[in-house]
Amino acid sequence: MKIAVQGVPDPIQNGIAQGWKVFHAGLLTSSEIIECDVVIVGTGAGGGTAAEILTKAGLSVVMLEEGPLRSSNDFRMSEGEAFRDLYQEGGGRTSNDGALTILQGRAVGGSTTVNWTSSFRTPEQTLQHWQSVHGLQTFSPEAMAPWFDMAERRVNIGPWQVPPNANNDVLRAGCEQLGWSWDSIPRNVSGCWNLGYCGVGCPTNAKQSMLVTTIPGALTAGARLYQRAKVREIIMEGDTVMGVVADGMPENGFTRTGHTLTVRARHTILAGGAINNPGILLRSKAPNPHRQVGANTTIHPTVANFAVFDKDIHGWHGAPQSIYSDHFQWQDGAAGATGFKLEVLPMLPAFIASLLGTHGAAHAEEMSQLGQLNGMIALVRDGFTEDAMGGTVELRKNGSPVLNYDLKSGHVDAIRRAFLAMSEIQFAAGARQVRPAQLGGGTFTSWNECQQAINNFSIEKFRTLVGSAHLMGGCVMGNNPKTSLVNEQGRYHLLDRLSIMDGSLFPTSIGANPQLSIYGLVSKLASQLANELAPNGAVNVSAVS
Amino acid sequence: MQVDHQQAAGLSRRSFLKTSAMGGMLLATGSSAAVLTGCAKVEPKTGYDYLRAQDIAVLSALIPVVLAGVFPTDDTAEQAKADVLRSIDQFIYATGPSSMAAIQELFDLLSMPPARWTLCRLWKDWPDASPAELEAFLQRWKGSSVGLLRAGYGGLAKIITAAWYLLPQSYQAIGYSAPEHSPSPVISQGVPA
Repeated sequence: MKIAVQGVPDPIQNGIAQGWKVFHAGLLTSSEIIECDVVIVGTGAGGGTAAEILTKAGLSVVMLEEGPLRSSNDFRMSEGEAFRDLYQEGGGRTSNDGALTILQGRAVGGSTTVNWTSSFRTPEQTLQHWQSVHGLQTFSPEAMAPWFDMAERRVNIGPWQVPPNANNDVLRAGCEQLGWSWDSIPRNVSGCWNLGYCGVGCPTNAKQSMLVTTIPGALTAGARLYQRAKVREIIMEGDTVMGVVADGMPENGFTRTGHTLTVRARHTILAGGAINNPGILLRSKAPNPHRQVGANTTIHPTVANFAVFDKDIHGWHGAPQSIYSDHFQWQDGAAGATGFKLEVLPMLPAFIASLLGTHGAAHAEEMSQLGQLNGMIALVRDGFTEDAMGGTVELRKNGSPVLNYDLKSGHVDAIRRAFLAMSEIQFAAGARQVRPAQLGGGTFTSWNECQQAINNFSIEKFRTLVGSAHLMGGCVMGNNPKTSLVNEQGRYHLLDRLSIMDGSLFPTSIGANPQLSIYGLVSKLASQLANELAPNGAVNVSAVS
Repeated sequence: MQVDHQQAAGLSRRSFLKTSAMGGMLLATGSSAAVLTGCAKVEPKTGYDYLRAQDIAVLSALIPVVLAGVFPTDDTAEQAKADVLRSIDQFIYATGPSSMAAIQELFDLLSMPPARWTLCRLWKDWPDASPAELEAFLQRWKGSSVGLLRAGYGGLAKIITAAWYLLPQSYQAIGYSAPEHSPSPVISQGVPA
């Protein structure tokens, strides 16, 4: 049966037609200077959330987005178009050495436009670790609960009542068989068609991304949005930040038009993510005496396991992520042996083809079984212990930011345990054949053989396939300027009128898909900022809930 | 030509070459190759945004081997090869200057006879190498203890396989079908924004 998507109104194109203030910085014919109360750099989970709260508090807000504005009329469920238009570096972003693949959004809505809708509150273990080890006082589970409540209402996060697709059901069935814990994943959807194309832009507007929730909310309340405006640097006058300078970008996304957009603002918010925020600060030569810009960048290093079943899985169809297991996540406590979360991958052809790490007959055979293939992933909880610390962001010679990330003993140990756990689950769920995504690692039909092989794997870069879709840290919160970049209000320690509001604040990785952590945290910080800046001195929180 | 290739080519070589202890040696070889062939100044081939004639020669040899088992062997093969090359070209072009420069370093290396002889163990030029020789090259790099060569293998396998499965003509063999999508008319009045 051929799936057809039609008759879906495009809320963005309609909003523009009705007068939203949406501009394309790549089409500027001369450089411009504009003014506002708050300029927000980035329109993902952090920027989108902040934009709506601040605009509805009565402030004049300008949103700047490096990527393009695309919406449901453009979301044709094509992997090629999605990589090109919706992902950082056209889907080709990697770590500095090329070893780690990085999936990160670059379009209006940021990564929320392309994420797989998994919505977890920040685990209590993580918040408690931030309190006990990083000294944060204002992010206890109790203090955060109302902000998560508010965020969950705003983007309609709730239990997913539809049965999991067969790809997710492998994780459920295997865990069930082994007596390991599992649960269903809450999702931010409304009227989901269960198509499976969350990762290439939701064509039905069911996914309650920033693109269809807070950004329309902000635009309707009068905010301005510039697409294709790539921020070069912040403007500093002494210790005070006065706004930003952005380059207009043409449709290819990387050559500059030569025309700039200067935004002068009473307050500047960076929400460009864990790689791009440090990039802006480093390019701006922002004060950085303790080398905290780009430090402690965590990524949930992720490894995959593929398994062939004797039945159809059709893992490209249906909600891409609906089952998870935290059985191995906190076994030894937050600061014990590094844990990992288990989930599955959407099985779209080019995406999976690029992850197999094979070629020729072996690749062809595996792809011919794509419809019977399960793809499981383990997301390693980095940044909690010395032996599994995060990486650092630096600038390339061309001024673009790039991540340096090493696999240390804690990562390697967690990855090996993850390969073992995933293989055992897949065999327990009835897999005919199991293959960890390890170059030359082998294909197995028995758990014993597989176990022996994994125990002898050399887990290292360019042999073990490692990727990340969760970029965190790099501008971390704390109360000591020697070990953090911003305070608990998200304010830059050493500059006035500058805040960070996105996942780059996190002092460790989250230990779960981070979107709801960002929504909750930024709802709190943006509301505090609105209380300081807003003309009426207070935010009507109910207006955004 | 829209892309700033000089900027791309002028980037440091670190992204691909500095990844292993062999980087220094390869860097030296690569520099001399750039001088000998002038490859850093070579423009994309007509009809392409990124790929140069020398890259196309390497890829044309490798495409049928990397895609063995799914790639057509009849008289549609030439057209399929052109489609894959175009798909690779557009995918890499969209990644921007940093990735473009890193991949260009890999192609520069593969195009240099001394590197082809010593690192790839391919004595004939790419168009003349047999499928068995090319397969042996891929297996050697895949199984190498040198991270840099495994990186090269991973890059080539990924670029070529992803490019093929981005093409709708690949779908039938894997039982996948792409959904249909029709945009809706824009409404300028009467609907609350």
